[in-house]
Order: sequence, then structure tokens, then C-alpha cells
Amino acid sequence: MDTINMDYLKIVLSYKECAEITQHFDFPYAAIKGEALSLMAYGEVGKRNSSDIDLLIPPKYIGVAKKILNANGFYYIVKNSYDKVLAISMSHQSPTYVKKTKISYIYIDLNHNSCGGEYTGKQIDMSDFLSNTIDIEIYGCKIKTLPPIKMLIQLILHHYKDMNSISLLATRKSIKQSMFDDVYYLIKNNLKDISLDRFYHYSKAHGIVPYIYYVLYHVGILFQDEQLNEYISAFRTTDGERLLKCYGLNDGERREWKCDFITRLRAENFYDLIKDDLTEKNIEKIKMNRRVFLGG
Amino acid sequence: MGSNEIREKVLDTIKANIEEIEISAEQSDEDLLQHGMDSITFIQIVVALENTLEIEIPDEKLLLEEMGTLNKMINVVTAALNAKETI
Repeated sequence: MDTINMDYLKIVLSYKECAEITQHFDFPYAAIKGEALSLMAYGEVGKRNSSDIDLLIPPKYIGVAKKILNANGFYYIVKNSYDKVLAISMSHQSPTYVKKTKISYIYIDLNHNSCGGEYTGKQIDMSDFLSNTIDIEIYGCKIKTLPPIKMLIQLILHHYKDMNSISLLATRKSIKQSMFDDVYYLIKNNLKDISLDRFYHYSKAHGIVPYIYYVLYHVGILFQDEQLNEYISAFRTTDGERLLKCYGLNDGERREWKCDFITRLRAENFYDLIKDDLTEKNIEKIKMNRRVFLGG
Repeated sequence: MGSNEIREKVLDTIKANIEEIEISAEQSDEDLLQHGMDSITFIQIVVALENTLEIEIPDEKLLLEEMGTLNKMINVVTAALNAKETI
């Protein structure tokens, strides 16, 4: 059995497990990122590099979901109580749930938030956000996902966090070309569902226009496209412009970039780009993140 | 454990982790982030509460939205203590 078939089997098995588990969810949920996004942005599964499944749920159901996952053989492993509290309170998801099967380990990430961490901007009510999920079929498994406009908003807020979280920037390569590809093709291939008017009004109602602008602006650097430019222009605000120059998820930790976006995109070692700006507190958080999320 | 004692324990734990913090009764519903708490001290407070009171705070409560004020912390701790007693 070659590697490709093994990877295929693993992802198919993951979705079968996911479909079985989510049958027991008596609360709203949506499969996000992964194959659900691949299907929506590129028209077919397998176009994105994904090896786990991400589920988005309202935070109040974290405990119920945990019981269901545990009952189905999925557990998360943390070294101690400190690491568990850190993982849940400082990120947008619980520690990764793992199940050992005959074929391989399979993984489910339980997301409860689109941003999390040090982000202090307006939060979206997840129960409301998940109120109109849609049914899709992936590898023959029926699961729920977000409608295109919400998939885009979730994706953009997630990218905004990745592009600005000091802990993430210092820990892994959190600005990648594929992030911007996903946003671009999700918009381009769903223009009817993600009309500028609907997208803008939804974003404005949730107080997230500057963050949407931030990510769209960077997509616009990589994709010269008139339709995209219309979106970028509509979302431009003074607050959004202000965000472009900086990184950090809140005013207290925000620092000005000393290099341009393309340099950041191509950088292999992000830590070098920001290390001179870090405070002792930043460094402490980075160390904690590395230990808990990377085991280092 | 009575409600006054729980309040005192929670307040003591907060004070032990945030330098020079003072929270009056009127400030019990104020966001602790405005009183000097940050993500690290939040984790330290939660872990200290779990250890000293021998409780386990449910995953869904380990969020700033759920434990971001003195009163919210007291409510979560009270529920965890009640859950411990019923086991």
C-alpha cells in the first residue's frame, strides 16, 4: 500500500468517524477548514492539505462534545491542568482529540471561537453563527458546514489571528500563501452567495469590518483582480488601515512591522523578524505556547 | 463551604496572583482584565483554584468569557464544589 492511498484511507476514515460522532450532537456544529473548505473554495475535495477535521461549536457545548468524543474513543492528552487551561483559554480550540484506529491515528479539533487568544475585538455569538448550517457530503459522509459567507468570515478571522498573534508568529510559519489562496477562491467561486452587499452588511453588523479589510488587503497584494478590489475598497476604514502597519491582537501588544508583507510571507524564521520587539511577558507566553502546542 | 468562604478563597487566589489588586463589592462584576489580569495570570488563578479547592473546572468554563469577573469565578467555583459533593 503506497503512501498516497494510506493518506486517502486516513482522511476517509476521519470523515466516517466524524459523521458518526456528529450524529450524537444535539447542538449546532459545522465542519470548517479541511475538505469542507476545499469543496466550497475549489469545487472538489483534496485540493487542500489537511489531515485532521475541524469542528466549530458554540463554547457552551465544549463539555457535552467532550463527553461524546470520549464515548467514541477520542481523547486529548495534556501534561497537567496548567496546560489544559492554557490550551483552552488562550486558543480558539480545545486540545486536539485523538483516536487510535487499526489504520492510523485520527484527529479532531474542536473549535469554539474564530479568534481567541489575546484578541479583544468583538466576538461573534457562535450559536447565532451556527444557526443556518448546510448539509454537504464528503467521501460519502453527510456532515454540516457553514454557508459560504460564514465560511469566509470564519476563515478570515482565523487568518487575522494567525497573522497577528505574537505567540503564533514566533512559534510557527503562520503566514502562508495557501491562506490567501483559500480566501481568494472562496470568494471567486461563490460570488452569488458572497455578494459584496451581503458580506459587508453582515461584517458591519458584527463589528469586524477592519479585520476583514486587513485580510482582504493582503489577498489583494497577491491577486490582482478587479472584483476583489471592489471588496477591498468597500471594506477600507481608518481602523483597518491602522491595522495594516502592525501586528498583535490588541492595542496593548500591538507593534509596528519593520518589514513588508512579501518579506513576511517568504520568511522561514518569523521569530527573527519580531524578536527585537518582544517584552519579557511576550517571551513567557511564547515559551508556554511552544511547550503546550508544539511539545517543545 | 459557605458562600462567604468561597468568595474569600477566590478573592485571596486572585490577590495572590495579581499584584496590588483591590476589588470592592461594587466591582465584583467588573472585567478583571481591567484590574491587571492577563491571560497568564488567568491561567495561574484557575489552576490555583483547582489545586487549593481540589476541584475540576469543566472545559467549557475555562474561558475568559466564563470566568472574567470575580462573581463569574465565584459562580464557576461554587458549581464545581457542588459537583464534587454529589460525586
